[in-house]
Amino acid sequence: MSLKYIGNWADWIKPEWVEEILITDGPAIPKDYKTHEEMIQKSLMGHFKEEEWIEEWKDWQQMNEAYDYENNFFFEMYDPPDLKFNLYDDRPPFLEFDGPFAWWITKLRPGKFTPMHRDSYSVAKPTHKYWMAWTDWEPGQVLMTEDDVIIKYRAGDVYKFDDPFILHGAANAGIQTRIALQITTWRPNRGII
Amino acid sequence: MAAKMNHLGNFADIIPQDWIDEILYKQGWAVPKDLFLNPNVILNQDEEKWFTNNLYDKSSKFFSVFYSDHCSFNVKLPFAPKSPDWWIVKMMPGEYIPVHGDLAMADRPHGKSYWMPWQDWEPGHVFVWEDQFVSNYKKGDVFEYDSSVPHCAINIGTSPRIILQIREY
Repeated sequence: MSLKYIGNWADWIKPEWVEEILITDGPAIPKDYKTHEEMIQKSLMGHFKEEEWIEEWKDWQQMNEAYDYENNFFFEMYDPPDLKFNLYDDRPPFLEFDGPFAWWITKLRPGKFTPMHRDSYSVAKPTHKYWMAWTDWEPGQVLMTEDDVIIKYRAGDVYKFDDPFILHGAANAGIQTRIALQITTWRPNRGII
Repeated sequence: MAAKMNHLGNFADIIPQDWIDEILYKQGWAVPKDLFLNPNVILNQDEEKWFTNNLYDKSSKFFSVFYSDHCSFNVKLPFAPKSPDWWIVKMMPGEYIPVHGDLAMADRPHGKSYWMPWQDWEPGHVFVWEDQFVSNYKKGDVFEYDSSVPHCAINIGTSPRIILQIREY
């Protein structure tokens, strides 16, 4: 199985972080993705590399030819510049390394989803990739890979991807909003190498 | 005690490819928006929750459904001989049915519910029934289940997901 449970750190999650995500509209993926990516690259690296954006966009489109990228609204994604808090000031206690990392938060309102995809930025070097629930599981919510699925989790549960390049996705067909934190150690177009 | 889903066997040989092709190219009814073309439609309590506080949009399309009137064929089911009701659900990538129970079935002591996939399971084809994730099934597998138990389905894969639903009353 590709998702390994490593523990629960619910006490580390500040209620005001969750509240901020719940009450704030985030960048809508894929509609706002380019604008968002440009802002992230400029904030982290001081410039925007169009060619890196094009490569990432091509990867997504090739993996998801079945979806309407122009008119769809999959989910909301928050990066550090979108939020008042910053996890670089509150380093996640479950990280098994001392170096830099990239983090972002996904919010799936009812009916929203992340199509199955591979993180193309994960192939270049050994990568730590984590997923942490910030809300308790509700019926209708699922995180899945090509060989594993996570349901019935609790807020604070952390899973590590054995293979950070594995096909994965998420969905919320429930009636509550689902929030999760993603962390990876390799994402060059976000200033993390 | 957790409810169980019983695998009754594989009946792939009763599904001609032209039935699958017909479902793939036809439109069917868009649920929920086409449901409300019928003024007599009644939602159960679980379904009403979908539209409370505008969680879901009544005028949107979650998935397509095909009743016998939509199809050029009639499904004969060796495992359900008592003139069952049947319909076919088609979920294109990105489509879903929110969590719900078929609550009317709970009031039918002799009622039976079955579901039958018309293709092999693929990553991204999600069916969660109670707290069980159902995967790795094959085209033509037939499962008997308690459809009054909360369940949902989502397609975040790249191919359509087609399911035959059967009810015996």
